[in-house]
Amino acid sequence: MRVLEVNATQDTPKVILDKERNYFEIKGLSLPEDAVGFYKPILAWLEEYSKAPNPETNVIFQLEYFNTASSKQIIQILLLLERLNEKSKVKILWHYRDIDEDMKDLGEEYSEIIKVPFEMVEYK
Amino acid sequence: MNEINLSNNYKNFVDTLFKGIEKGDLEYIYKGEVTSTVVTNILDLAKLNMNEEDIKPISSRIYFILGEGLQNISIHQEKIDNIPVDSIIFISKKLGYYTITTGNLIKASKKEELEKRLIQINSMTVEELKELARYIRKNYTFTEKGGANLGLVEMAKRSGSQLIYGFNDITHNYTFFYFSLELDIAKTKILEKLQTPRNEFRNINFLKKFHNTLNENNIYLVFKGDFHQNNILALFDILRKQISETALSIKLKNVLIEILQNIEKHGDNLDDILEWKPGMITIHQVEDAYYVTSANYIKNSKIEHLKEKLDYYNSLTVPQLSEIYRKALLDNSSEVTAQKTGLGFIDICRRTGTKLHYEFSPVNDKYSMFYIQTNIK
Repeated sequence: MRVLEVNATQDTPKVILDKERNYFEIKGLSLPEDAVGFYKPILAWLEEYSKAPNPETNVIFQLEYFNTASSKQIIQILLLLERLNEKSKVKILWHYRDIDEDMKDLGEEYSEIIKVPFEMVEYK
Repeated sequence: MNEINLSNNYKNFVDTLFKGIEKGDLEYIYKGEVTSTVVTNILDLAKLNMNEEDIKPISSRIYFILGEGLQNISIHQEKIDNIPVDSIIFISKKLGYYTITTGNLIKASKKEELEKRLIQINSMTVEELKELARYIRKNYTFTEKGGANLGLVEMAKRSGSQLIYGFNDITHNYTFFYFSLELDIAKTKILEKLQTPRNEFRNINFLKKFHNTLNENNIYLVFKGDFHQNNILALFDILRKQISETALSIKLKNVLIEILQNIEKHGDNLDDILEWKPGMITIHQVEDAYYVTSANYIKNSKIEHLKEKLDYYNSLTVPQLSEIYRKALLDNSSEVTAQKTGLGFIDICRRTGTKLHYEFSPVNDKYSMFYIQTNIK
């Protein structure tokens, strides 16, 4: 399966979805005007991956900021990962800066909504 | 409920800035200590807004003057113990002019010499200024703080504008020095020039009053312009750098981005065909809390619905807000996902844990000015 790699821009995060290396990451800022458009290929890739996933799928979310439009798409990714959890052992690694209470709270909240193991990872 | 009682002078201040606003106009005001980081950030913002065709030919001059002016403040600004007197910077691009205005505290003992120098510069032609700059460069002598008065001469020379200035004595020993120059973007003909309304920032009395309004409302940052994504990102970037990183400031930034994008998505312009979104955002800081106030035009027909929504959010407790937040977050029906997520205000209320204060102030029978204020502490 091809690797989906998207470089970070001023308003979108860096994305790496790599089945071979078993590495999945969304990292940076997410404030695009068209969040639906930005996340569409990501959701499509994950949908495709879900057909024949690796035994384990650890997904890193390391977002510095995201707007509400992005949050709706992120929740869609998380919901997709929840479904994937039936086939592959999914874990969400939710990274947040030590002084960013909002990001920590959001991670905790999403972990209540989505029935997938969340690991909260604090960084400086 | 929860309508703001914005002071009249604050509303006048918004009105003044919005008067005759056109696409591409920009106003940026900063009040605080001018450090090298602040200088870099302001130059970045200016650079971003210099890409338009009309301003390109003079962009290097603007950049020079701005850099010089800001550096002047960072070198010469004085501080008095116990009296907070911040420096101020006004950048205003409108009415065919790019106006750069600064204000900072200086020792009263320097006033006379400075005024003499300014009168001298104002009396000179561009040719004479060139000559003088050459002379100073040759016979370079540093003044006490590393300046050589060359800055003023160069700024006058490159702007080709009258230097407007004024003083406001603060104490016996210190005076506040206002200084303004402008660059002609539109290369307006002399006759038209006389008929164009002048930028208020070229009027020292206005500046003094305006400065008072900033102080009274504890405003330290103002941005007014076209709220399109590029401007929002640039502004956001500046704010990220300008506001020191604390848990509070991270909250502030999270809220800011929602407010900025809200104007972009839901703001209106005074004419249906104008597709750009004029808006304004001010950040106030009172002790340990930030207040963000935004102002934008809105169609009168939208007010009732918006008011209902805001009152509803304001009536909810934080757990209730969380409940509707989750519902809206998971609502993936097509009409909500594209542009209107229905999450913005809920998110702001949740993050701040405070009520949204708002006000609608009629402009005409079709439009009103919509103010919204949130408190982050």
